[in-house]
Order: sequence, then C-alpha cells, then structure tokens
Amino acid sequence: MRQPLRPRLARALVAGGLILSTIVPGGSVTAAEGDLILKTGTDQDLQVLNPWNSVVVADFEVYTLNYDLLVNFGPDLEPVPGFAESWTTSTDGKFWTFKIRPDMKWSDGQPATAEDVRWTYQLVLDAVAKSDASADGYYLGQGYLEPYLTNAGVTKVEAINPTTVTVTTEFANTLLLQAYVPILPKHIWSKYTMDEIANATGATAFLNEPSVVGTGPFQAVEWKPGEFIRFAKNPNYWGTQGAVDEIIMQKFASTDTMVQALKTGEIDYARGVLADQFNALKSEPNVATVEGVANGYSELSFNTGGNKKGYGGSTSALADVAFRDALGYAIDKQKLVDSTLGGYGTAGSTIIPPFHTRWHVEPAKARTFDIEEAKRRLDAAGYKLDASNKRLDKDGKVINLRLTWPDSESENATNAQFLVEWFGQLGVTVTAAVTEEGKLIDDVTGPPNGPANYDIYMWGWVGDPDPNSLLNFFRSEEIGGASDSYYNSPKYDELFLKQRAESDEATRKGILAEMQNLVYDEAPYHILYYDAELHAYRTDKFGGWTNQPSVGGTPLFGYGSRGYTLLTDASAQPSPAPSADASAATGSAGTGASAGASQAASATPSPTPASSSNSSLPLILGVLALVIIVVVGLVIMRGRNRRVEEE
Amino acid sequence: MTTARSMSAARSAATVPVDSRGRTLPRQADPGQPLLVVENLRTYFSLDGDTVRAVDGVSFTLNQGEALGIAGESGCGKTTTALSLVRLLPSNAKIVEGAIRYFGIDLVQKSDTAIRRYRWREISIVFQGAMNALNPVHRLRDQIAEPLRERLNLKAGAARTKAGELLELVGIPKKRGGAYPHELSGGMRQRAMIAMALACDPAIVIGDEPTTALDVMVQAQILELLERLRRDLGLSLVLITHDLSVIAETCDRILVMYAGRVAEEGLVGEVFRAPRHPYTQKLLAAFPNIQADRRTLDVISGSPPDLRHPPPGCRFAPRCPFAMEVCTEVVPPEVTFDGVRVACHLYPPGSDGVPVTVPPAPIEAGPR
Amino acid sequence: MRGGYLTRRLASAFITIALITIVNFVLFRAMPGSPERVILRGTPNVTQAQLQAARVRWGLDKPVFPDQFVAYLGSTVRGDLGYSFIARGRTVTDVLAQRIWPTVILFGLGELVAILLGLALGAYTGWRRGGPIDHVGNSVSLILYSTPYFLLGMAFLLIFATTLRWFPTFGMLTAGMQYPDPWARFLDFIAHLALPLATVSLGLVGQYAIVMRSSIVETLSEDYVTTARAMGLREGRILGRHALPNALLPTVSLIAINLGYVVAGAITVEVVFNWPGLGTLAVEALTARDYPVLQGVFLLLGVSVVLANLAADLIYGALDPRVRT
Repeated sequence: MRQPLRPRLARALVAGGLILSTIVPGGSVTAAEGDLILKTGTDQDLQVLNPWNSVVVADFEVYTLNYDLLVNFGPDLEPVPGFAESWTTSTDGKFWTFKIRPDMKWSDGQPATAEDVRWTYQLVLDAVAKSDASADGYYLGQGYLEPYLTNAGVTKVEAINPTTVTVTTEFANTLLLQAYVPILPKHIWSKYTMDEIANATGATAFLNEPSVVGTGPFQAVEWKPGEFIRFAKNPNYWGTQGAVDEIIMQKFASTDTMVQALKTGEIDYARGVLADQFNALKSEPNVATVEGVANGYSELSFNTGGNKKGYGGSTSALADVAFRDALGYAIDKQKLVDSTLGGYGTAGSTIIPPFHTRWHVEPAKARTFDIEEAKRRLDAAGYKLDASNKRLDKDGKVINLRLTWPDSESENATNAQFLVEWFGQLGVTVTAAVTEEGKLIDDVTGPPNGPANYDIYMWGWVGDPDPNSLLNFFRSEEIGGASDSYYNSPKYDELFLKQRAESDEATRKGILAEMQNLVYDEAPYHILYYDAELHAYRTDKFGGWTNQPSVGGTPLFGYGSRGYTLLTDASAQPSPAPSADASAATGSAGTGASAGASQAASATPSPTPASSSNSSLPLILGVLALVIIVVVGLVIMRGRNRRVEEE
Repeated sequence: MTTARSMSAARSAATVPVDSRGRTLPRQADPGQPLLVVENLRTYFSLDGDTVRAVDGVSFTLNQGEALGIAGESGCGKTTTALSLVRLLPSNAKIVEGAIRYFGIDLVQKSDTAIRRYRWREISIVFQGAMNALNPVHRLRDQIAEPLRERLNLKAGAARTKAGELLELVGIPKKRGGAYPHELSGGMRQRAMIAMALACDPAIVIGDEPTTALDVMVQAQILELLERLRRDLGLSLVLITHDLSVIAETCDRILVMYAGRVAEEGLVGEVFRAPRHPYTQKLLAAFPNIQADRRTLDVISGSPPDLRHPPPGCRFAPRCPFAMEVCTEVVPPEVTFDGVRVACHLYPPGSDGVPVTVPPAPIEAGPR
Repeated sequence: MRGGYLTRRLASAFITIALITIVNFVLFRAMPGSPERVILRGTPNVTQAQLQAARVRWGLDKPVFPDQFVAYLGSTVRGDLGYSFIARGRTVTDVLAQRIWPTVILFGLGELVAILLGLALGAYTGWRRGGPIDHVGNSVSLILYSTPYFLLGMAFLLIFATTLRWFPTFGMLTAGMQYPDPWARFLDFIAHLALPLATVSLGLVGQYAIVMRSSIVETLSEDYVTTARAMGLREGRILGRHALPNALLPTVSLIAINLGYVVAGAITVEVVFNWPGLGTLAVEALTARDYPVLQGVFLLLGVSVVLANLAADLIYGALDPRVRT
C-alpha cells in the first residue's frame, strides 16, 4: 500500500549523499606513479603465449618480446647478438660456436646458460626426428618453427660448457643466423613432455601462461585472451631497455575504434590501419604515419598441371608458358594497387619482394600492360579466336578459366572484377567466385595428396627476413605439399639448393637473380602487388621511433624487440612543444600523461580522461537530480489528489 | 451505509450538508435544492471540421428517490446526455451551453480535475454489455475495492470486506469475488458492475442500456435487482434505453428524446396511457403487442436527421405524419399539461393539450 | 490450471532447445571445407596421413550419423563443447565463460533501460495523443528505430569519446590498470559502460516506445478505461492500473520476438566499442574459423533466445489471466 512519503524522500537523499561522498576523494586510479606504459593496438587476435602455436604476426611479436632468438635482427635485419653474445664458424661453414654471456639471468633470476640453447634446439630436433619416423608426421604446435632449423640443415647441438654451445649443420649456409626460434628456459619447460608442449588440446597442455619467464626485455604478466596482453620490464635484462616500463598490446574488433583510440591517446600505436583512415591520420596533430613495405605479396597463381592426369585444371593452356606469359600483358598491376589498396602498395614483379633490398631484382624482360600485345602473343602461341571471339585452346576447346580466392581475403573481389574484364578483352572467359578458405586449401593441394582442382586463384604469401622461405614452394618436391602452382623445373630445384648453401652474398645474389627471372619468365605466378603495412603512432608520449629495416620498415611489429627498447620519453626531451605538464601534477602516469600531453599540444580543451573517477561525477549527479525530481513530483501529485477529494 | 469521512481536519457536523437519506453531501451542496436540474444542455461534437449538435437544448429535473427513464432511437443523444452529467465525453466533445445543477452546484462550471469529486461518489454509471467494462486482468473483488480505496480512502482490509458485502448485495456469492471477468456469465458481470456502481454510495446511478446485451430471463433478474436496490437504498436512477418495456416496469417518469431534443416528458403512467407527441406514439406503437393480432410492425419511415446539419424548426417534421408548415420553420416550444411536458406544434401554448392520435396502420392479411 | 500452462511452456522450450542443438550439429558439418584442414591450417607440408591422424584425433573419421551425432549429443549434454581450434588448449566452455558476463551485463542492462524508458515514453505519448510531447517523442522514436546500431555507436564514440573526451573509447575496463580499491574499479567500469549502454538502449527504445504507444492508444477506446474514468480515478492511476497492464500484453510479445534480433545488434555494438563479450568472440571465431567456438556461441545464443521467450511467455501468463485457462 501507500507508504508515508517522508521516509522515502529521506532515503533517497541519504543514498545520494553516500554516493557523492565516495566519489570526491576518489583520487587517481592509474598504475604506479611515474610509469610509462606503451599501448599498442592491433586487429589480430592475441591467442597464444606458447611460441610453438604462433600463427599470426601478433603471436610472433609477443614471443620476441618475451624471449631472445639465439641471434637477433639488427637495424637492417643483419645478425646482432641475441641470446648469444658472439659466434664463429668453421672454415667449411658447417660447424658453429656460439658464446653465451656468463652472467645472464632469466627474468626469474635463474642463470641463463648454453644448456637452455641446447635444450631448446634439441626439442626441435627430436620433434623432427619423430616426424620423419612416423607415417603421420609430428609437429610442435603449428609446425612453423621447425623449418628454421631444418632448412639450415641442423643435425647436432651440444653445450660444451655453460657459456659455449656448438651447432653442426649438414651444409654451409647463413640461415642458422636467421632462425626464428626463441630460446626457452629449460628449468620451466623441461617439466613438460614433448606432447604437452606440442599438443595444445590435451588436458595437460602447457600453455605458458603468465608470468612468462624469458630473457627478452619484457615479460607477459597478464593475459586476457582475445583482449590484451600486458608486459612488464624484465629486471634482469642484459641489454638496454629504453624508457618504456610496461607494454599493453590491445586487440581491436574494429579498426575504426582503434583509430579513434589512437586519436584520443588511449593507445600510442596502431597496426593495420586501413587506407582511408591512414589518409585521415596524416593531418592529425601529434600522430605520425608510416607506410611499411610488406615482406610478402599477393599473387595470381596458375594450375601449371593443366588438365593432365592427376590435375584438375580445365584446359591444357594452363600448362603452356606462352599462354601464361601472354596473360601477364593483360594485367595492369598499378591499377590494382590504386583500386584495391587505395594506392598503398607497389606493383608486383618478382617473387622476392623489394623489401629484401639486398636480394630483390627487377625482371630483365619486364612486361607492360598492353592488351594488344597480349592478343598478339596469344595468336602467335596458337590460341585462335572462334566465331564468337572466344579463345580456343590447342585441343579446340573454348577456354573458360575458373578464378577463385579465399573468403578471408575479401579485397580480392575487386581484383577479380578487373581480371574478368581484362582477360575478357582477350577472348578468355573468366568465371570468378569466392571459396571458403578450408575448402580452398583442400582444392589447391597437389597430387598425390590433393585434387589440384582449380584453374587460377589469388592468395598471398608472407616472407621471413631471409628470402629462402619464399623460394621454397616452387620446388618440385613441394608438389603435394606447400606448392600450389605445381611448378616443376629441374633448373629451379638445382638453383634452390645452390643458393641455400651459398654464404658469399654476391654469389648468392647472382643465383637469386637468376631464380627470380626464371620464375618471372615461366610465370607459374603473376605477382599482382606487394602490399603495404600501414601503421600510425603518437609522437607526444614516446620518441625514438625507429623503422626496422630502416628502409621500408615499421617501428614495431617488425623482427624482434629492438623497436621497443629504442623508445624514449618524449616529454623528457627538450622539445619545442610547450609540454608544461612534463614533470608535474597528474604525473606521466598511464593515460593521464597522454591526455595531458595532448592537451598541451592539440587545441582541444579536454578534461582529464574518463579512466579517472572525476568524469563519472556528472553522470552520478545527473542520475541523482533525476531521482530528486521524480520524488518531488510524486509529492506534489499526492497533495493535489488529496485536495480534490476534500471538496 | 455510511461513507468514510475524508481525512481533512474535522468539521463540525452542523455545517456538513446531508440529503434526505442522511448521506454527506459536498460542502457546496444545498439540500433544499432538487437532486438534479439539467437546464438547456447543449453538447456538441466536432467531427472532421463539422459540428455535430448531439444534445441541443435538453432540460429535465430528477428528484431524490426517483427513477427516470430516457428513451429514444440510437443517435438521439440519450447516452451523450447521461455522459455529460459527469463529463465523460470524448476529447472532441464539449458542453457548449447549459447548466447541470446537483443540489444547486453547477457541474458544468467545474474544472476537469474538480469534476472528479462528483464521479462515482455522487453519480455513478452502469455501462451496457459489461464484456469489457470490467478490466480483464483484474479480479472482481479488486475492481470493486478500487473505488473504495481510491475514492473513500478505505484501508485494504476494510475495502475487501465492503467489496464482499457489495457482491452479496447484488446476489453474487462472496467467494466468487476471486474470479476474473472472463470466467463469469453475462448476467453475473452485469451484477458485478452494479455492485461496483454502488460502492461509494452515490446519490444517482445511471444505467446506460444495462440490459440490452442480456437474454430475457437474465434481463428480468437484473431489473428486479435494480428495483430492489432502489427501494432498499433510496437511490435515484436514470435509465437509458430504447426498450420501452423496461421503462414501463422500472421507472417513475419517462423522457423521450429525438435528435438531440426533448419530445415528451412525464409520469410513465400518463405518457404511456396518452402519448401526445407523434414520435412518442410511433415509438409505443412500434412495439409488438403479444396479445394483439398478428400484423406487420408499424415502422416509422425515414431515418433520423443528420445532426451536423439538422433541419430548422422541429427535427421530427420530415417524418411526422402531422407535419405543418410551421413545423419546418419554428422550433416547437415546450408546454406542460397535467404534469406532462411536450414540445410539438400540435400543442401550442394555450391549447387544451388533448392528445392527437396517429391512426394505426391497416391490418394486412398474412399466414397465421 | 496455472501448473498446466507452466508445464506446456517448459516442454515447448525444451523441445526447441533440443532442435537447436541438432541444427547446430548439422549446420557446421554441412559447411564447405573439411574441419581437419582447418585444424592443421597453415601447417606446411600436410600429408594425407596427417589429415587422417587429425580426423581420428577429433573423431571426424567416424560416420557423421549416428556416431558423430551421438558423440556430439552426449558431450553437449555433459557440458563438454570441445576445444577451441585457435585458442590452443582452452576448452570452448572456458572461452565462453570468460566472455559471457560482459555481454549479459551490457545487454541485460540495455534491455532493461530500453524497456523502462520505452514503455514509459510510449505510455505517456499514447495517453496524451496529439500534444507536442507526442510529436517530438514519436519523431525521436522513429529516428532511433531506423538508425542502425553501428551508426549510433560510432556517432556516440566520435562525439563523446573522441571529441568531448567524457568517456573512454573502448573496452570494458582500462587495460592492465591496477585499481587502488573496488570503488575505483567500479567507477571505471561505469565510465566504459556508458556509451555502449546508451547505444543499446537508445537503439531499442524507439521500437518499444512506438509499440507501447499504439498499444495504449488501443486501450484508450476500451470500455474498462471509460469505467475507470467514470469512477473518478486519477489519470495516472487509470493509465497505470487499467490501461498499462492490458497494453503491456502485445508489447511483451514484441520484446520476446525482438530478442532474437538483439543478438545481431550485440555483435555490432560490441565490435564498435571493443566490448569483450560474446559478440566480439563470435567475430573472432568467424574470421579464424574456430568452428567449435562458433558452434558453442551459436548454441548459447540459441538457448538464450529460447529461454528469454519462455520468460516472456510466463510473464504474459502472469499478466493476462485469460491465457492461463
């Protein structure tokens, strides 16, 4: 029934007062006073902390912060000390000696020695041996890391003494210095069996959850899967650490939100910005944009097996170099860059991207975009036009090429439209349709393991600091495995083995040049373009952003933790910007600093950001006011009603 | 039954007006005045830009303990007249002229908020076909208790008890009070409505076609109930119906309306015995007489006028068998003969008031 | 009588959930591309033997019906939804459990606020038809109703987060923040909740207001409202005790039906504000082809909608006695 009014009103007021009283002396909620936290954003999922399960760039970035490679990558991707302090090789190049720092410690204080290297590498070798021995194969996690040792031909690892480890390889090569294998702490990892490390789905799988122990400059201390990973400084780091105290790597579901967060200073670095956002950010104060050249490309691949037995191509034309070559004149690669990539990219040429400044060469006999030339070449190669202007192959069949691409690479739909149009002008009909990624992988697997069921398709490859991995899948022995063009050239296979074992740079460059031209001319692939990596970062909180490699690289998400350790405190520098809040009241703590700095630099007179308690005040007051209004209203209503009845 | 005192500061008994039954009246009431006097009431609707003159100059008086029946065809304005009493009109209707004096208090002058005081506590209504007049999601006893709690400020327990008493009063067993409307028959729902209407002990109960939707047997029961209540409680009734037999049974006086105006008004016995107005005669003749010979019904040709553009003069003139030229020009004045008031040019002021009878229709042969 | 209604509703909900479980199974088996390929995704040099091993390990080599189906039913009933393909080592149940509460809070509160606000607004504008408040309210409701969640969310983000800096841009809490006390944490949470909550509520309010308004307008012409007015009850009481309970009936039905579509909105709003709930999880799992997680999300959302509809039915039964007999 009705309750007396005064107690109700009183209760509302008391509640309001309580709320108010707790807000005001709330104070700052930032982390330890004075900490410089670097916040990076990416649209990739942060899914794994066990390096063996790494798939995406973010995963690799995470483990190069936690751990050292045996040999790290320098400013231009040259080998620099990592876990190992120095190294020498024997004259035949097949025996390496690595020296480990005598007083190096793991982040938990345990001594880091040669034994850790031996244990880690031996784990890989054991897994490879097990894989070779079994019919099913065996992989550590995703199996991405073993090839770094197998491609280098590693056969034996030994720890002579705590500061010396030796590695024996089957053949001479420099790939050992580029092995992207993190050195793991034996005293943590050896507690688990190989299966527990390798098999992520077992009940006792070792996930390597925080706090992670490593020798890298930062260790993961907090992990919210799918949200963020937080890193703290390694107190025992052997190298220079820079100004950063903590790193938070944040995942974003939407790049729009990520860009907004960059603008407000809630993150300091954004990876994977889209072309139009990138353009808009160029004029944003205190934000720098960097267009990194990608170490990879997008290609148009041909089923070079054509319609031979065991291959699912629709026409014999696909197996003909002349046909593929002619089609290459009907692709306007710059147009694709402009349309699909918004101008951010480079027209494609050879299979070693320009990113590899030391190894990339332009093709000797480069094609141009010339429809008439393409037609001439098709005619000359014997592909006649029939009555309805369609090309016939040498078996007299109308050529109708099926073009596809995986649904995960949706920008290829734009490329497809162009290809259909251009090839159509030549009289070659192209039917374009997207395929679900899993099914596509099934389809393009070559014989005897797969049906090789496609004509032409588009996808992309990402490379390593060494171009070797990008050369691998043109080997004939990869047919049925990684090869999706089924290219079969004894000359190529021979050159591959030669370059792999060649340690003289000039000589190797010559071999690679020959390989690039060979593949360009024979065209199992037409490289469409080299994508660009679009990153952006704030300049008002951290300075010292250095691209790795210096030409065409990006400060972070490169190869290793260098970019992080080079960062300096922007407000500590004698910068021209009037950053009066450098020392002071709000401190440089967390988000307070970024907002404070952007306050000084940008013109917006913004209050402190909402992570502090103060800006919740208007919200609470608003609600309180509403409650009071409602209560007062009810009081008045009751009074009026009473008066009516008493007439 | 006594009403609960309102919760304001106590007033001395001497200054509180009471009516003949001892009921407390509103402060401004004058017990010496008649219960209800309606003077020249005009209620107009605005519809698509036109003005519908639904009630166009209606006057009558109701005394304490009386039962008045208002009769007429559909659309003659009888319901609108009744609703105007407590201003239950839709938003496009307005009382444009006239006075409604309840014990001398002019209800027309009261504001929309002030009129609430008079609803249910002084004048209550029983609607027709209580299919949806009762709220389907509330139990019976809760709906009856509602005015007791809201208008009389009774506490929950007292209200529940009183609600039970009211149900018993109208012949519904107390234990059925927990039922929902859809679980009751039509007759029981109507009884419940009556119980609800009596909750605040009103002076006047208006029945708007209270038995129209019921079958004849139930109809009889309801009428009997109404009569009993009127006797026992001393209520005044206003019964609106097109069914003259109901009025003949239950009412003391009858008011015949046509097209928004009063045609004839007087004691039931007088009017039924010797109807003067041609419309009243036709109305009475239109009812089949079960004891007379079988013949076709004597219908009134034509239909009521469009009240947006009513004919000048007498509104019945177009259908009246006695229509004269003056009827289409001048509005007939009201004249009283032997207690019967009639507005018809057949009975001008100063005439002897002898009824002029409409000849009956010829008997037509037909199968027996 | 009451018990019968309850039993019928429960039985119907149970059957629907069973059907969802079956459809869930069929749907993911019917998708193109073999699951074993996805599991081994990216592993170089995959041989037929490896594929077969993967199939065996994941039980994919058995016939789909009845073996796989029975195994699926059995494990689902036991609460074992399998392992995530992508989040190596974590069970699907684990993954879901971590992400469900943010969604429940955001959308639970959002629906609640929307219902309260929308019904109040609709009731008021319906009751006072034609006034200026009605016109303004109606226009606002229509605009909100037709604005897609994404647009609304981004607009709020741009205005209140980027430009005015009143609220943070993303997340449920500030990442990695160490809070000195629970109050500070709570306030930070409120600050983060404000914009997504506003988006969800305002997105729904318009719809509920419009339906409630037309419901109320219908009740206005009902006889029991005329009776209530004749009784001299206050306008507020007539609206609240007589009109509203009857007007709520169609609105409750609408809210229940709507819940299925709110799920789609969940994904959009969560993506815009980077809210770590089931919506962002669904997007992640979709792009990464993590079928077990997708299956789990699908099942969870399906069951939630069924349960919400069941709740609505029960509420309807509580409101309308005519339905119960």
